[in-house]
Amino acid sequence: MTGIADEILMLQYAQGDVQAFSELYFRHKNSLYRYFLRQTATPELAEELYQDVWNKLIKASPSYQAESKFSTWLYRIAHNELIDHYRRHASEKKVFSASIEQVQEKGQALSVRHHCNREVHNNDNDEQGIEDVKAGFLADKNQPNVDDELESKQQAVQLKWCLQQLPREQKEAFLLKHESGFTLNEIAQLVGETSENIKSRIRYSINKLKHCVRHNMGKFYE
Amino acid sequence: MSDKMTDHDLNSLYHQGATEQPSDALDQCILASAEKQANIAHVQHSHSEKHTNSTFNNNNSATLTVEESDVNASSDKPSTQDVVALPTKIQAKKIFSRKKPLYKTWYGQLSTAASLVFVAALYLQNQPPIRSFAPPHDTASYDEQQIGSERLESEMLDSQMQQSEEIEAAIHSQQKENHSMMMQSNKMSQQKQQASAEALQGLQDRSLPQAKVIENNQPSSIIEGLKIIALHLEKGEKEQANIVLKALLTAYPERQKEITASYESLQKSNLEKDDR
Repeated sequence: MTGIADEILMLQYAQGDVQAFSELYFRHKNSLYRYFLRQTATPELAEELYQDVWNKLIKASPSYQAESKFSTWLYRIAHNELIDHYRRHASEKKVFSASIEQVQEKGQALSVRHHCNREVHNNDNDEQGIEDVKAGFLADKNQPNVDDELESKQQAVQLKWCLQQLPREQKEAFLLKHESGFTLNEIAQLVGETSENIKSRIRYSINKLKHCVRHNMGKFYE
Repeated sequence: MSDKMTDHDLNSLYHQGATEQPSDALDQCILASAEKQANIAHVQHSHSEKHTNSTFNNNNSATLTVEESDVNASSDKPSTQDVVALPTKIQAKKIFSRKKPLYKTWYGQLSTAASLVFVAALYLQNQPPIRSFAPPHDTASYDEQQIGSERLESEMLDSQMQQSEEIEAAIHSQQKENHSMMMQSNKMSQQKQQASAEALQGLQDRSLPQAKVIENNQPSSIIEGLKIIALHLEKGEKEQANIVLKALLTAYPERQKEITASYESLQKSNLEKDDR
């Protein structure tokens, strides 16, 4: 069943094949979960939206027609769910206000650590990696021979924090491109924008992330 | 850390950190709801399959018995064979249940054609009647032609009127001329009668000079002239007879032959008388 296309699996599930759905679910669950996790304030909210999307998909499965890619359909539901969530909570700023305030209050380095700890609470390995980074940093921050692995882990953690600071549209475009692997045209179709706009959003997001990672890592090592 | 970070570096860095996963409890929850929905769908599907089998039972009973056995044999968790076979059944059901759009049906097309014909008939009915062979869009040239023909007709009428007036004028002038000619001829005849009477008186008198005889002895008519000539010939006055003859010939040149013939006969008769 691993070689079967998503669309066929979905059609099979629409006929009552649960195995087809489980295959489909395990193919897309991680990227979709991270899509929500990066764009919401808390993992609980991400899980809530993530579950809603899958429930909607399950309910809509009897009327599914393989007219477009399954992944496009799935992420369109996810995008709409996110937009609805923003509307329900009056504005996007309100949703993110808590995390931003926390960052401002606790200081950047600590907030990075806090934020990353909160974000990666579901992954024990990742948390262990962060602990290692923290331990190494606290032991001797002026140590000349820093391990490359540790450095890349620090950068990855820093990148997640930087990603949180991006505007919503740029963040979503970046995630759909690099997390879910969509093309520019697919993202444009999914979000309802022109491919030129999507291209510029991705370009801006990458430049900002590069700058953010460099700048804050410098601060981190000071 | 190097200052230059490529897009690829950023991408790999992101994927290095992107290791979060939903919790197992959440996975189980979603899979359980999916299974529940699948069971509901499966039950509905089996019901609909039975329904379709019963409705189309008369047409293809052989194939339907096979499908029915498949449906009855399917367990709660259907096998892959069932899954492969099911879409075709559902598609068939959709084909039967899906209503054809109106424009694809024969009566839809017929109604479209009829409405088009009706519109065309209305259009033709509201068109102005064709007056000439000229194309209907060339109204300017048509108007020009019409104006030209009207002008020609008016000119023709004018010329006819002028001609008729000229003819009437000519008739009037001819009538006047005829009248004047009649008057002149009457005058001439009166003058001739007077002259003949005077000539007769002159002949009786014989004393009148020859010039006056010539003037007065002009015959008013041919018979009178011939009588005068006969009188002169009886008397042996050939010269006077010749003068009267000349006067007759000048007066009636169209009867020259008759006058000369009668004159000669008169001369012969006189000669015969003289011989006796």
